[in-house]
Amino acid sequence: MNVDARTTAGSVAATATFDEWTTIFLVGAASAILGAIVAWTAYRGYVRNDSRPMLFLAIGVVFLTTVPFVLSYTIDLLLSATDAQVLLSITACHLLGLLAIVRSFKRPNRSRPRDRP
Amino acid sequence: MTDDEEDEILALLEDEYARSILIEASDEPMSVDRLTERCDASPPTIYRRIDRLEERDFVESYQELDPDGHHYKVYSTRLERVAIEVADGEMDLEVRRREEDPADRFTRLFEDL
Repeated sequence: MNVDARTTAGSVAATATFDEWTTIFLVGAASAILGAIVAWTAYRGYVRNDSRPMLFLAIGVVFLTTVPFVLSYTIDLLLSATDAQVLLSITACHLLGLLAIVRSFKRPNRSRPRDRP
Repeated sequence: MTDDEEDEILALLEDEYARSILIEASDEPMSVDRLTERCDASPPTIYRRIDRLEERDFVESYQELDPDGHHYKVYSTRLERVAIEVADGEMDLEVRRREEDPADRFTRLFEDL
């Protein structure tokens, strides 16, 4: 009886742990995908309007969202990195992303894009 | 819409070249080169009409990249429908435009920050 109860409790705990990791993955994937959509929209804004701030914004958003997510699931597979190294690479990505966004605040003296005669 | 705006829109739509630009660019985005050809007008004429059409958001423009690396602008029609209603001693003009591309709206928002 006791053994049964313990086994059940154990499997419940295991299931809960599994669900937590799945949830972390799903939530992370959702922000990675949304980030990619925002970055892609910003990138298209850059291409369509020749707007450099939008290019930096796109780079910033992708480094804050999509890149860290992808890194967190791939870097230890590829390089067998330690947890600290994974964390460092993700933090470095966040820094890069923020630098890109700060850079995007700089406004060029906007010369109207040349029309083709 | 003020009376002045309505007059301006009616005058713009009365213009033969403005209308042919709207028609040609409603099918696919077009450069000034192609509009000049299709509308059988000089480039300055096309530019002047495009300026007026852009002012009313009847056309939108964006950059296109040539294989040889030169940027040029293409224009596409946003005007969808103009309805004129006359009733109760008043004339009313209603203009409907196609949704602006989210990328362009995002760019405008961010650049205006």
